[in-house]
Amino acid sequence: MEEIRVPAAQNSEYLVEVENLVKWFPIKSSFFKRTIGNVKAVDGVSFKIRRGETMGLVGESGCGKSTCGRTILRLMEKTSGEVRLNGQDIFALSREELRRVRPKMQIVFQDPYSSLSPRLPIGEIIGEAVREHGIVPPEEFDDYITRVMDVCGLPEYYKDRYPHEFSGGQRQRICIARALALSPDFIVCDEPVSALDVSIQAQIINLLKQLQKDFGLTYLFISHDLSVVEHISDTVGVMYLGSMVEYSTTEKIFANPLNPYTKALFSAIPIPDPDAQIHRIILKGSIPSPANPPRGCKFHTRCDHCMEICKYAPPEWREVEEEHYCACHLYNDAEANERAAKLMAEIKAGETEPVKEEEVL
Amino acid sequence: MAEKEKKKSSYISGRESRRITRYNRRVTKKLEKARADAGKDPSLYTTRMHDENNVVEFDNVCTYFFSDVGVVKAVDGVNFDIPKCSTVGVVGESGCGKSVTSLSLMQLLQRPSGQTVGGEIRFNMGGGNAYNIVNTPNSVMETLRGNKISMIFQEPMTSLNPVFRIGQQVDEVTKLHNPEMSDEDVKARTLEMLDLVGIANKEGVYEMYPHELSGGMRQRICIAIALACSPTLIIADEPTTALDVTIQAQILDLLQNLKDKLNSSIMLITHDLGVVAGMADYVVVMYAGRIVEKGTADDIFHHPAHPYTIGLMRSKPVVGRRVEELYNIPGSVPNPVEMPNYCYFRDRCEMHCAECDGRYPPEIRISDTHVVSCYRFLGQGEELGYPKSVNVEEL
Repeated sequence: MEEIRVPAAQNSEYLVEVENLVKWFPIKSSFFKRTIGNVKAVDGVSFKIRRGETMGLVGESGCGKSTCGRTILRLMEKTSGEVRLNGQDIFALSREELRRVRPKMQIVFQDPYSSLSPRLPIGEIIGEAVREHGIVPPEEFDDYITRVMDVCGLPEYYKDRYPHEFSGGQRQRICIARALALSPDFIVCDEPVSALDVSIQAQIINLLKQLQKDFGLTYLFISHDLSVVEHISDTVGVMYLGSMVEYSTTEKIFANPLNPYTKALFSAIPIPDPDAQIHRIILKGSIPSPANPPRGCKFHTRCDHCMEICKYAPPEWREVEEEHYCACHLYNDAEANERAAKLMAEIKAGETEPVKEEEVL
Repeated sequence: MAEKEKKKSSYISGRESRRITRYNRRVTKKLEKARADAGKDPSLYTTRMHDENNVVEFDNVCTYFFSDVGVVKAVDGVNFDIPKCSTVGVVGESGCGKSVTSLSLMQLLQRPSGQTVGGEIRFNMGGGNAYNIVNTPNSVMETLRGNKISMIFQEPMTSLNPVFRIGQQVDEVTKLHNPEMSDEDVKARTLEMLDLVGIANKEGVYEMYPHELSGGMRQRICIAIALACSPTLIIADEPTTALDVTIQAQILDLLQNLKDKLNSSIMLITHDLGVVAGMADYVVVMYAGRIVEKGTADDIFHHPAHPYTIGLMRSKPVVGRRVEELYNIPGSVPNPVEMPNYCYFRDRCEMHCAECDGRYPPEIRISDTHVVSCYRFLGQGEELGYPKSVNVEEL
């Protein structure tokens, strides 16, 4: 067990490293079950999360942010790419090894109404995995559960109650307690507050922040609510149609969004001030189908700054400023422009399938 | 100790449960009968508007649900007006009665358990005449719904019928309220509506089924259906909650433009303060079935008076305003079956004072447009009286 828990790269700066992660869902024909296409839910996403930090992942529904979160935890198998937790490739692990790593990575789901078993009392919901993984010796089990519940703001006498007796906010606390009970390093929060009311949202966000401070947790915070993401995250990645379009620290990305999609997304945030002067960039149309994404830059069909090159060549993932990555032809340097122009010429000449460009982080 | 008390409060004996059922049956039967009687006589359901410039006036409306665990006062003495050509935002958390208020106006409550037991909802029919929606019979309501008052629901995924084409669903409304129109005219009207809500490929969409459209497009269709008869009031019940931010911006922009084009009023029900700030002229803040504060958007957002409104604003993270920790309102909403007889917000309030232990606070007018129900403003403005609740024992 020890050699798995303390891998070689323990002291590296990053807890989670995702490299070129790809997850396609095959579309089968109805009769022969042949694969006739792929839904490219996650199509080459790369990022790293530092220990004890929170990365926010934002984007419209259907952009692949949840799939990304689940694939990172190996709740789904990848199509290609690499995910390393503590320097260890998650997808290289055998079944038994994976089982031992599981407590270190947990998830909190969006809907607290459907993610708790209605047949188990709260104590058992939280304790089930603790017992399974042998986190604490059996004689300390009860005390341990009480302690975990206390940390999450749940009184002890809730232990014997059932999920239906609780409100949404309390259920979400139970979900968090369940994840926390395994003393994880990394928690994927998949829209943990979007099903909750504003005042309850604040309670849960504060709880998540407090736990992070106390236990040094690392979060991947998936949400479509940008104001929540800004509040909780250290770094933010913006996804569009399966690809990351921009990634930077929260300060940089909110102060100076580069990608036209990010700009439009941020301008759409409703601000609770009737006098606020907002220059909304209203995007035309809706998100294209991920089964048949547009050629070139995936956003070019809705982009205000669409150029000829955008229709043919996919933009490169480049570090535009320090720690500010963006994939957009507007920010290409001369070299990247040249490469893109060459690619465009090739595609135009042959009208062949666009060559998938290697994304470099 | 706490455990025992908690268990006690949610426990109902078989006997008690039977008593509640008997009581509910008796009361709802009586109310249904009274409503049917009132519906026969037009003088009982027509009335005069207090102010010509309002589209709807809610006057001490009480809507109760006679449930198996007791009477739930979902809306309890709600007072507000919707002026012509304006947008009124109704804000509050889930379960505060904002949706029930709108359902009372549409008479879409789940009867017989849901009943509007008191107050008047006056709907302006022009020339000072008004319908009192509370007593209006179904036959008249059918001419109002979709025609004069229409509603846009939260879930565009579920509010369209999956087995009918989009065109048929939009046609239906026009045809129902304008039986004299020919089929060609109806179709022309539908295409015009689809155009109005910004659907580019209108001829194509006319022949499509709902599952072929995205969420934003479906919501546009719902809006087209709602606007087909140019209603005087559009009730938008969380119209953008199920949508993405970028689509939300599109839909809100669209609603605002259409409102001006059709000279309609909008009652915008939402829990998102950001949406209200961008859209509404007037804001009503509800908590536990009652209005705690109402005023113009400027009053509410720049001079919030009620502790609940203040708490709500502080608990929402705002882009560009970094705070270390969000404020959270302590505690939770009181049990709707057994509401306390003092201010509903007292137990969660950090500003409560000695008077708060007394009865529920009266409405106090602190400026021309700004009304708040809080003892902290006692003596700082004209008292408008206490909210009138209906005594369920007397029913």
